[in-house]
Amino acid sequence: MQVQSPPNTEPPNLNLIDQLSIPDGLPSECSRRAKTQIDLLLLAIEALDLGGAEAMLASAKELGLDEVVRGRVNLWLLRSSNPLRRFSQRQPMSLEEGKALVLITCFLARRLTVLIRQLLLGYQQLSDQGLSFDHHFRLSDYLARFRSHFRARMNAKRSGVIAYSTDEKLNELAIELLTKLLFCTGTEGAERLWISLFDGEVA
Amino acid sequence: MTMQRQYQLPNCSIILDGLSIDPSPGNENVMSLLVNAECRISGLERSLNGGYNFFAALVRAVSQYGQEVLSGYAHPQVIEGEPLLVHINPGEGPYHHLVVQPEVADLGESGDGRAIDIKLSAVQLFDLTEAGDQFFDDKQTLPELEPALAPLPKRFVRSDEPLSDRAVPAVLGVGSLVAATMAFGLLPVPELRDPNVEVSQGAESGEVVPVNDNTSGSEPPTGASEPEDNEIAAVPLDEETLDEANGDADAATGEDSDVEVVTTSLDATEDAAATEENNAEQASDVEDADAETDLTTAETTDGETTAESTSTENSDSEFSSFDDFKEEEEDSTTVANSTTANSSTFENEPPARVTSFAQVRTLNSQLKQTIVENRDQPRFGEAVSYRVRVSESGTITGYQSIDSSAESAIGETPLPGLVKGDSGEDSSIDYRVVFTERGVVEVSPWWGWSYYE
Repeated sequence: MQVQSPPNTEPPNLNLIDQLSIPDGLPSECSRRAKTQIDLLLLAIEALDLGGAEAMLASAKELGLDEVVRGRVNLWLLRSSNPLRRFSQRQPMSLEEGKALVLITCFLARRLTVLIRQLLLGYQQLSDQGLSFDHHFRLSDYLARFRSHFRARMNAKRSGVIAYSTDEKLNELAIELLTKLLFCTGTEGAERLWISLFDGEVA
Repeated sequence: MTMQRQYQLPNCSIILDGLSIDPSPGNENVMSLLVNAECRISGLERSLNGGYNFFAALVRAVSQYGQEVLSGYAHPQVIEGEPLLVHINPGEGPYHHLVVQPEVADLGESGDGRAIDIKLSAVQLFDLTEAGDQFFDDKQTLPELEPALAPLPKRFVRSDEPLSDRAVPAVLGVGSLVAATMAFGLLPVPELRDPNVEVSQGAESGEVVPVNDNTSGSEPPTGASEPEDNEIAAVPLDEETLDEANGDADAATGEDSDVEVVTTSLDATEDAAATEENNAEQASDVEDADAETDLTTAETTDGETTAESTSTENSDSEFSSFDDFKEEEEDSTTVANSTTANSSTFENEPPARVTSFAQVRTLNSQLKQTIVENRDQPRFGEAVSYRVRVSESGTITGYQSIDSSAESAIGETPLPGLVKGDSGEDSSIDYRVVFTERGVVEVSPWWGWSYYE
């Protein structure tokens, strides 16, 4: 991705978290949809990268977010605020925590850019030719891993989860998340993802 | 000064040609006037060319659509009131459609006046978005164009489901709540059981047998007379009692000891009485009545002693014949009746069925009404039963406790105050009045409803 006239990059802000804007009228904490969305994106990252869970902790440190995401248990609690989770914690997620997870998601997605593009191109080719996903080893591997992660961790009794009861539905969800992750890899990825979490939440 | 800016990505590149018209220091390199914008998308033979309007509409639409991909909610791709020059629609599978109106973009000579529809894959779309974002990030080029990323206001979010579908769960929820409330309302209030009361009940029922001890002298004859009174279930039991008593008597005769005879016969009758008591509890009303009559007879102390002494003295001869038993029983009954205060004779004979069923029913409800109206408050605790005699005019002429617990609880019932004495009328009807442990008064004909039908 070479740019002939590279934008004048500002000196990196020491406090990454403040780079994400807080538009007017934002609720004081992350909505249900935001919590669900963040957790699902992280789940997709785990399905892409076997060491994803460890990488999340490492990147939290790397990004200087370890004061917001304090270690493994805290990360687990934050992700468990997803209402679809089997052991959902029903706890609020503050805007700071939401921002931190968004930054981690985008950081990891950027690292996986090549893989994400490959998988999406593969998916496009397979669907053009009307072939099943099994013809693309890496893609079917991702889909299978995502399905098993999803089924192991989500509460199958929730109506939001029942909608994904079949393999096909889960594959669709996995591809949709993959596309979202691709958009997270962009220059404005974190800001875009962060803002999109509040669509329909402001007056 | 002319200048060119390029934003290149694997599947898409944007090339901007423009001029800098602001000569002030620091702004020499800022492109502030766009001459031509070229958008090349891989797989597309020709590039899209256009002026400022085309480019501004393109980057705005792409930027807004990028948010749509992330959130799933459709974002407005133009500022309200402006014509829709460029917009992107979701397509099937991994595809999206970039639609450009012909008046803003120049696709070369192939343009036939129709809108240009370009099919973009997810990766192509992302590259286009990314090129736009890089442009937005570049403050040196057309700085007046802003990405304008903002959360979608609520008014743009339409629920996928129609209102009727969304209302169904709420209506169902409220409906089932109402149904459940009504169902629970129909259930009786749970009965509060006091464990102390149950203990005392057990103790009292245990006392029933000792009470019968006193009556032992007159008990066997009563048993013997029962087959005449009613032929329901008492016959086999009474024969047994008789046999047993006779056997005891025979044995006693052989041993020449009066005291022993008394003891044995006492034991025998005690057993018989106990058996009878149990039997009576389970058997029909009629049988029950007999046992109760016996009890009353026994409780009239004078008669009891007489009967007992007689039976003890005559033990040898007394048990030898059935007729003797009967005579004995009649004697004691007479004594008992004469001593029963405030009560007409409660014989065990079923009354003549002269009374009509309707009248029995009327008196039944009338009696119940009278009792309920005259009690101070509902009586709780162990259930007690009484036999109440009512004349045809509705006057309560007498009552009788059915067992000792009923006897002791008589003060808690309004019965004593309701007895008006014998009105002199011939026919009267006996009723069974039960004060149940939940404070309910139950009245039914002593001989059963079926008797009058």
